[in-house]
Amino acid sequence: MFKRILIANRGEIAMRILRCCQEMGIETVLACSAEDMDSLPAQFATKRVCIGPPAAAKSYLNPEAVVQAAISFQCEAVHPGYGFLSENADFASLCEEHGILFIGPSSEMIRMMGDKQSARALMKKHGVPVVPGSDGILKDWKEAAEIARKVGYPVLLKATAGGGGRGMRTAYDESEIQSAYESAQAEALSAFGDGSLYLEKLILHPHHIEVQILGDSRGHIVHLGERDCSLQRRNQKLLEEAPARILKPRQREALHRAALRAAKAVHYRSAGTVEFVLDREGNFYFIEMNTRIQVEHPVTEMITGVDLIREQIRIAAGLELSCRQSDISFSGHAIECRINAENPAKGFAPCPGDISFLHFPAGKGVRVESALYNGSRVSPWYDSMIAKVIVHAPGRLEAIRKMRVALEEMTVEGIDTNLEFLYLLMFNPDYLSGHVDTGFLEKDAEAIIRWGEESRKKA
Amino acid sequence: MEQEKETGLTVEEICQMMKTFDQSSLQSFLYQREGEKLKMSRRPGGAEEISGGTGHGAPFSGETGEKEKDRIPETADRTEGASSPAGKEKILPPQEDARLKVVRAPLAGVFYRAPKPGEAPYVQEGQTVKKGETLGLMEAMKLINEIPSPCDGVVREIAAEDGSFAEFNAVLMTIEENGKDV
Repeated sequence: MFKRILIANRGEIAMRILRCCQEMGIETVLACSAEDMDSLPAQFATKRVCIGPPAAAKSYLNPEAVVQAAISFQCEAVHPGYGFLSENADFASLCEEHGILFIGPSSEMIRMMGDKQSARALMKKHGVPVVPGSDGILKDWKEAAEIARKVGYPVLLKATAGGGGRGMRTAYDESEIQSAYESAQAEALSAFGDGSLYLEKLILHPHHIEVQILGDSRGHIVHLGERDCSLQRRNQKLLEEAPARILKPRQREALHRAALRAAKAVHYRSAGTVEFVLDREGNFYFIEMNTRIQVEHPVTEMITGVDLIREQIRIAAGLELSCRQSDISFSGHAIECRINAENPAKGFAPCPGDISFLHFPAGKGVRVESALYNGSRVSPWYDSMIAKVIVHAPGRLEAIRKMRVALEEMTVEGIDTNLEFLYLLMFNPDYLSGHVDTGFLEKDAEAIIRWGEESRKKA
Repeated sequence: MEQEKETGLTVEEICQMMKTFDQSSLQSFLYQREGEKLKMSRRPGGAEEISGGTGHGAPFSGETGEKEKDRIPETADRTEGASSPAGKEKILPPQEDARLKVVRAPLAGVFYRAPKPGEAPYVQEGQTVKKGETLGLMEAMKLINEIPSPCDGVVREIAAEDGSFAEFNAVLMTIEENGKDV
């Protein structure tokens, strides 16, 4: 087992990794920016090293600084967390070249899955259903139009080197296809240096369902069930649940089997997530595979009892998975809410600042993942997520009730947060019915906020 | 030759030039016309120095330190213990402490006192140095940066050990500035 790991991340995920390492008796070196020198993980790590100024580009996204720190501090492995360098194939290569173990899949795997079109083609070859669309990179907009005619409008033109919703354009009919193609290509070229596009049918009102995968170096691959991440605003997840109650048992089985096929097709190693969209008819299609630990991993941990970070570290150290598929069972329902330093009433504008008072909820089945502490500061340099509140209960309604209590109890003063918005969401009839798709929040965020304001007015 | 502009560069023009320079691969740039001079240069480390002229037609020279893409400037407020802008020293009467310039690591990496192992170090304590003279090297994964002296002066204290890892912003050495040309 490793003696020392470098944590190349910040905030709640750095704390998560740090705590796991401490439990495992592994020393931690926290590589942080000048802005995060007083952060919670920086204070609890065995050692802390400042690798750059506040700007992420020069610190958390600086591969040379991270690897040099790992070498100079004699760290055998690096945990990249999520975001930042976690899916940067060049960074993984750099680690490999210098004998530092990258906790995740190989750089080759990251590169493979990062090429969205090839990943899609590979999945299709292995019998994993993919969104109907093109078979490879499009030659020109005419080919796009031809394929669009076959699969049916509306369609989505996507950059193969893309991600994060960029380099994508929709076309609702034939008249739009050429301009959509040209502008998607232009954006892809400027953002990723590669204007290659592929085409997918645009699934309307989709549910975003993803399956957690674990693979070790001996070829064992297991799935740990699915997560429903349909509640999104501007392609950012806000709330995640496990399991996905919208699935019927047969659908769920088929989904799990497809995810396993996908992971086995690439001989996946470490923790990963296979993403699907579910259409109105109940068909599911592979979208992409994420080769990192994800923000919402705790909901899977709650329903399976498996420690995913621990498994990642074990896998990286060459150990077998601690469980076989037959050992994995699912119990109850888990919900995670992302608490952001933002003001929903002001267009969800970020609100960095100093925290003057902080109280986290607790109790049976309540889990909080955060790097906040009384007197800490929410930095304007990084994203606005400041905590995750996770609940676990025997059923979905009980979990929702538990989340209501937890959100009500949580108190943050000094900055604005989306706590109240999330609380209102816990009473929203559409959310309660479980039939919300990815378009729901964009449509109904305003209504939810207004409802809250109305409720507070005196009669 | 008729000049359209009476008073020289506008603020917008200066900003545009700064932006263009920032995005280019030029190391330095000098614009000179009667009554004004604009110089920009790129230096890998050291404090930000802004010495300003005031009023129309007075010489204006601005120099920036590290290339910074982000809006929020990297001043003493943001980074822990960064040295204060040199501009202050021109306004206040020179004090004992104000003459000690701290040289901090512009990146996280290994600090070297000599150009190559076994060779003589660039500087020793007590040595006189000129502004811009190389005091040492910092290396991160084969990327080597020279550390220039922020001022003319004398090397007072070398805090970092040769071949040791230095964090970003770590104190490498202290130079006592010569008061002659202030």
